[in-house]
Amino acid sequence: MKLKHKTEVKAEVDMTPMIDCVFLLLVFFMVSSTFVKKEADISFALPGTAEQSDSVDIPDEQIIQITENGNVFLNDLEYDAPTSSDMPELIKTLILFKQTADANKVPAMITIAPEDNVKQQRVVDVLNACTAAKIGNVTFAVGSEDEDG
Amino acid sequence: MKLRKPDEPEAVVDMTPMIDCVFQLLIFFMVCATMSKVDQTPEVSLPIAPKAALQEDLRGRGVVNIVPLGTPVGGTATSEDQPFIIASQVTDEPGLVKAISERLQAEPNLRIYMRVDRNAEFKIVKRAIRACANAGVFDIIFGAFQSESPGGGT
Repeated sequence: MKLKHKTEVKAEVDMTPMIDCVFLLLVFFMVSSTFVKKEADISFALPGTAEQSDSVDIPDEQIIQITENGNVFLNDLEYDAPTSSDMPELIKTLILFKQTADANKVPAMITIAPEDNVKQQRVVDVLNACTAAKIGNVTFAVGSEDEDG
Repeated sequence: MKLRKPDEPEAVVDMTPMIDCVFQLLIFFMVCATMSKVDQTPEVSLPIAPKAALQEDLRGRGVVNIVPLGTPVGGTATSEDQPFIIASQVTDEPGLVKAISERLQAEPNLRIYMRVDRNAEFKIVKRAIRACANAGVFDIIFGAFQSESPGGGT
């Protein structure tokens, strides 16, 4: 008697749905990573626990004041128009200051003292000018809580 | 006459290398998406600073968000009393000091990354800087975009 061979079913894994899902995930992550706007850093360091009222005199420290209207003063001299965000005059002066400090082998230090109502964009404009002049020692004069009342 | 059919080789596309590549890309983008996940409050419109350095080391950062006073965040508007935002929650100065102090215990090299809106007033930033000093953190970073263009690139 002739025995009939059993029909062997070939085992196949259908990859199509998985590839579809993976492609969807891939497109999702690619698109979402493009939409995230890259943020950048402008860093500064606080002068230890000392606040402005307790600070010691440092010869190469320059103070930049920013008024409510956006006027910028370095050692009581006004630089650039309040609407100027790239601040070429200030950058030029800060580069000279940095070169002088380097020549004297002392660190160049900037203290920024903005008024209370100054907008953050103006503060960052000044920090940007310090970065352009390659001055890393930047700090803020925040005063003590008593001074604020 | 019986004609013999020529052996037709079955056309099979080998998908394996493509699937490998796709998986690699998928993992890459997933990891990138996870790494860039920081406490970002979407209401914050960062200022522009063309000379700012793109972020490289994101480790050891505590994020503080500051928006102009009165901006609603998570159903609560920021005010003079509660001007700071941590993890999408509006908080006051003692709350900020407490949060930074707790984080500082876990990470001794903590740096504070301040995401301050371009229209926020410095008096609020000043209070945040003071809170950092009171908590014992002296390294502070301001967030900025390098340009207005999408992607923030140079």
